[in-house]
Amino acid sequence: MEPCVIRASGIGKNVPTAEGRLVILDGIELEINAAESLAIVGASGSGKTTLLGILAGLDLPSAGTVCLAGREITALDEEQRARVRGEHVGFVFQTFQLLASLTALENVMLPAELRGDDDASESALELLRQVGLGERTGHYPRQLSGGEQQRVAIARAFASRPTVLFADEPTGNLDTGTGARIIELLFELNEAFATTLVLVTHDDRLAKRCGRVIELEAGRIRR
Amino acid sequence: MNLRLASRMAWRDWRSGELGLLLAALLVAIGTVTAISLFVDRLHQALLLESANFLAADRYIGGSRPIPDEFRRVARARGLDAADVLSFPSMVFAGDERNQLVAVKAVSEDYPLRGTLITGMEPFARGAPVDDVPAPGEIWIDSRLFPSLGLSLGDTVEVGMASLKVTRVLVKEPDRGGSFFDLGPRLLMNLIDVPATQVVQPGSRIGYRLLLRGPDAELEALREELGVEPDFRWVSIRESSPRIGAALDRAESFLLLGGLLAVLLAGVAVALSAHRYSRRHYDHVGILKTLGAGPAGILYGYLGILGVIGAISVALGLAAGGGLHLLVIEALDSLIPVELPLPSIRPFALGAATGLICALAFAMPPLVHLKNISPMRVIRRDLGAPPVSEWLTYGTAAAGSLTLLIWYSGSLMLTLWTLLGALTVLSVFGALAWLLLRGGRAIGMQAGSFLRLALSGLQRRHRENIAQILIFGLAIMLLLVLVLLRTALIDEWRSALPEDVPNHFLMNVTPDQLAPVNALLDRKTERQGPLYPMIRGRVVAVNDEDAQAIGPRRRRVRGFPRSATSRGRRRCLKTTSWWRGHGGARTTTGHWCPWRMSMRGNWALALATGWHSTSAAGPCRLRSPACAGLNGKASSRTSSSSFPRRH
Ligand SMILES: Nc1ncnc2c1ncn2[C@@H]1O[C@H](COP(=O)(O)OP(=O)(O)OP(=O)(O)O)[C@@H](O)[C@H]1O
Ligand SMILES: [Mg+2]
Repeated sequence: MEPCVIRASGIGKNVPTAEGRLVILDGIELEINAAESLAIVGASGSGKTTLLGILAGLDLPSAGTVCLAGREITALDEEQRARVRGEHVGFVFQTFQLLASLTALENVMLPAELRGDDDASESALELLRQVGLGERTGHYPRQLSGGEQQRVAIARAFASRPTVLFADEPTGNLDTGTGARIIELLFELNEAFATTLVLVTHDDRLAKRCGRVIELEAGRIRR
Repeated sequence: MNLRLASRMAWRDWRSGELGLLLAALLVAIGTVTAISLFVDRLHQALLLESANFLAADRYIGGSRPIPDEFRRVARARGLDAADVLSFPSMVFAGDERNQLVAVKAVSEDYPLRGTLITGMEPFARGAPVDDVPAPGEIWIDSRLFPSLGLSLGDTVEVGMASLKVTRVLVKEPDRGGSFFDLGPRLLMNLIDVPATQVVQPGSRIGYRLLLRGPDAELEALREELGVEPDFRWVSIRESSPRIGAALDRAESFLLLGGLLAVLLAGVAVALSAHRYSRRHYDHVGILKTLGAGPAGILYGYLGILGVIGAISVALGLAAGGGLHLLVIEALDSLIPVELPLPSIRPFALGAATGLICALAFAMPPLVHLKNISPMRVIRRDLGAPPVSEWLTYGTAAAGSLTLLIWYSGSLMLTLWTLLGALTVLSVFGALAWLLLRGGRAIGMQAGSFLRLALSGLQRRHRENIAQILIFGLAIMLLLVLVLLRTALIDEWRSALPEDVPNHFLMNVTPDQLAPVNALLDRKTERQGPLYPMIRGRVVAVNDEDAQAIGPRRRRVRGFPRSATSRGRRRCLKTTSWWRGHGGARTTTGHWCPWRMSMRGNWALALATGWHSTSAAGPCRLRSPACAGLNGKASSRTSSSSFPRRH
């Protein structure tokens, strides 16, 4: 595996608004190596989420290029970017984003099902056990607490054996204690799967656990 | 996404109740259309069959000359079944002193092509269906001929020059018809014996019919090919019995309209639930996309779900429609006097196609739209969905409705009018809803905080709210139209008959019975008008114009009597004085005038007077002072009277 998993150069993002062009990101240069963990911090509105979306190939920048796992995703069409996401990217969100109509197990099985794997349930079960929810597989998200939902989301994120795991404020909706346990789990699995971790956070403890921290200010990297 | 995943997702959505509404809407659409068209189809078939029984055929070619062999040959070549019927009045003699005028019907082996003959072995008893006709040398006769001729089964009577043996009692034949002149007692014989009777001679009054049976398309093609007019008449149930034809048409259009409205409503319901389903899946799609699903996968996945739901709802909807139509039949049991034949495949095809088109035209656009949802939605909640293509939504909905409506009604005009009505209602309701919401804002300014909150909630989503008001408005309008139409139709049917229209008739009163019968009627009934003689005549000229030439216009001049005994007869004739001789007519020399003589001269004059004198009142509606030449013969010397209907 080549050392550099993500290489972003000259990333700019601006959107048209009623008051003219709003510059959200400007001249971002970033390289992230395999198995590295990176925290993106910054004030609210500094462009963290926007940057994460661009790095993960969910969104396209207005300028610049992004390479992810050896593919220049900024040059791909939506269909191809989706394929790259399916193969290399896992997500954990602040609001969990489980499908409400699916049980915990089915949520974890989803990435494999989308890939067309047949025996999705075995490894999904194993993952649920790893996050400590082996007994709750048949429960729906609404029957689970916030922390439990986030654990299911983490299991789902690792279910696709991603190269990079992106997390946008994974503890933002949880109390301190639960958040701490989620952080433990995240890093544990990250280690076990040798995944590259990119996370956005306001949480200092979480940021400190990461190998590297960058701070955004008004769309630019401060350090 | 493959079909297996799609069905798995469909199952999960169904489990969580999200697909229920869509499925229900599709089910209602398919079920209603299937039920209505099943019912219409079976009723239609039954009525056609019933009316075919009435003709003893699907169509017939009739005329007063022998049917050319050419007709038979061409009909056979088209694979149509044909049978010959000859009818004529004749005297029959039993022994030396007994005789009676009868209506003879001579038929070929295949008669009747529709309906059945009912015969018995004993006069005035119930008979049983038979599927043959009198063998050569044999006849079957009406019950009342037995006493009047003093006959019993096995006796021989003379018809013209032939001696024929009475072997059965004729109880009923399908095409007995309501014509007054067929009401003489019936004698049924084999066509083969006709030459022996020597009745068929130049000048004798004989009706020839070639009965036909076969598929509609072939029959119509035959009609085109032969061009039987003007020497012969081509008769289907609509020509032979305009009342039944018209009732059939009305009943059909009513049910059809009901079906149309059901289709529109169902389409609206499907569109609504699909939109709701789609809105609830924006987040789903966002998540699926972050997990690696591309737009194509999303598209196929949701189309797959729609396909699965469509297939299930078609299967269930057809079954439900079948059940529902049985309930309808059960409920209307007392109103449907006929045995309904098995349905054709068409209602089921129609139901399935309705489901398909509803799914494609109404449910697909919002689901197709799902593929455009951005995966960024998952991390940026403020990111709304890109707007649904209105062109796609309304375009397909309009195209879908149009296809369904046209196919269903088979009539472009009816479809366009229905759509126009729906559009008008939509714009009126739209304007009203808009005003209401705007007015609400003004009121909200002064209202209490709770009401203001509610009103501002309404306004914030005003587009959606207006749409909902519109849809409910449309639905209510459609239902109202249906109710209104139903009432109007029934009223129209009722009012088609005048208040005191007679529903009982007394016939075959002989001249010497006139006085006592008149006295009896005056005492016991509220009858209107005197007894009048029954004659049969043909209009040969109107205002010196040849009646043949105005023939094609006959339908337009409503009430124009084709023969003196047709519609409007009672009023036409009752004020005239030309039968003062009480059922007979005396010539100027005072002689009894036998009906067989030509009736130009006095007769024509008298009839003309009669029509002229009542034309102002309308029933005959001969617009100019009419002079009609009459040329005809009476078939029996009888009079008749009619009684008003009692309510
Ligand atoms: N599509 C868009 N249209 C308009 N403004 C946008 C768009 N995307 C982002 N922005 C704006 O760009 C700025 C950065 O947004 P972003 O969500 O990246 O901030 P953030 O650093 O994640 O903030 P927070 O810590 O509150 O999550 C915000 O002011 C946001 O309103
Ligand atoms: Mg953010």
